[in-house]
Amino acid sequence: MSDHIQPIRGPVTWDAGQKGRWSIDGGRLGLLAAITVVLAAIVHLVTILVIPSFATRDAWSRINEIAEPIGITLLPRARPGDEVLPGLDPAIVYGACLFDLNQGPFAITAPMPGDYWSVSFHTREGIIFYAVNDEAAASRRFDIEIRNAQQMRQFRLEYPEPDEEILTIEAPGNIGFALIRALVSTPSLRPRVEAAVAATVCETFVPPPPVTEPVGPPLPRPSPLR
Amino acid sequence: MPSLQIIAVIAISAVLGIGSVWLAVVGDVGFEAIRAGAWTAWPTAGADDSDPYIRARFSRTGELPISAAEGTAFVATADSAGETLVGHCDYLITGRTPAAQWWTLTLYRDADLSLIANPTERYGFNSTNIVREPDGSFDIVVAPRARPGNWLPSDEKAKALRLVFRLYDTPIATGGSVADIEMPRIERGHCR
Repeated sequence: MSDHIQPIRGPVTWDAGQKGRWSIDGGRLGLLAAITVVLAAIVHLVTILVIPSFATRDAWSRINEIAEPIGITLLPRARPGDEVLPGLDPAIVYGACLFDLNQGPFAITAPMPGDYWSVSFHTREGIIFYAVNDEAAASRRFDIEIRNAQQMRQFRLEYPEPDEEILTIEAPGNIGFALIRALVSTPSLRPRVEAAVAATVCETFVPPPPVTEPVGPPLPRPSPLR
Repeated sequence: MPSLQIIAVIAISAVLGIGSVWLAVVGDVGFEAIRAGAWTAWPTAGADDSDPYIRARFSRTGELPISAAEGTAFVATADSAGETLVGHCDYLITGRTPAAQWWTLTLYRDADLSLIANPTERYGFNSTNIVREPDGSFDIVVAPRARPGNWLPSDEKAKALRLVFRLYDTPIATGGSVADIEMPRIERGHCR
């Protein structure tokens, strides 16, 4: 160990030694190799962690490119040489709705017939924060609202009793998309499944402009006669 | 000179660091993989606690991950003997599938995950259109030329193929037993 540490203390002797430009003693080479390995590991970890933030051809970017800003967009059927996203399942009809909670809470409602369907909510960073399929949702209507943390707090204040009909989910990010998958078990059913996915209603509740007067019945004022 | 050494150290560590990331991302590295025979699945893909290698890979390819609540995708790029799947060989996919409400099997080019054009417009099979044996098992033949039975057309010129077996609504993804997953075998047949 001391062999490795010693050369770093004595760079002066190394310079003063009139050695050739590239001659390095073994201890210094070992130290440089160790520094290289540690630096390479740091570069490796940092690169792996930042790749998702700099990806320009990830699923979000590709869907944001083709999807309408409002309402549902059916992804075109995957055909050889004409795929909007790589690795789509040709037996699935995909529908995507973009959401931006900065504009207000987002709601999705769909009548889902057919064989298998699921809906998942993806953030811009590629995280699926909620997903449900036909089996798990059997007891519920497919009626989901997405709110950010602030909208969720406000919602809880306004409606302290949970609504059994509407599922309200808190999103970790403001921007993302909802993805509907519906299985086409036999090719003849495809038009029906596509129509069902296209009938999905995605909407953003744009809140009304803030009012100065409190809404609701006026508070009883103390009688001046009393 | 020391400054030259510093430059060399920085350059070599940058090449090693970024090069190893490239190999890891292209080479399907992931710490949370489930392996069953020739098949590998990454059930945490898309989850907020998924490992960074899986996340980096999905953001590079642009694939849509399947969350555990929806199902699981098993990927095979090699046969059961460990040889890379290539377009000029025939493959027999044989066996049974794990429990799932639905499944689909799709063949892609491994390079860009694109589908393979063919006159029958068949890119895969699913649990409803497959022809099964009386005992419930099935045989699928992956081959560039037409075959009787469950023929999945491939491309003779494709250097590497990828089979993706998607199980929709499966107990595997949501905490079912991993040890006894039975996935079909992939056996290499005739090569040209």
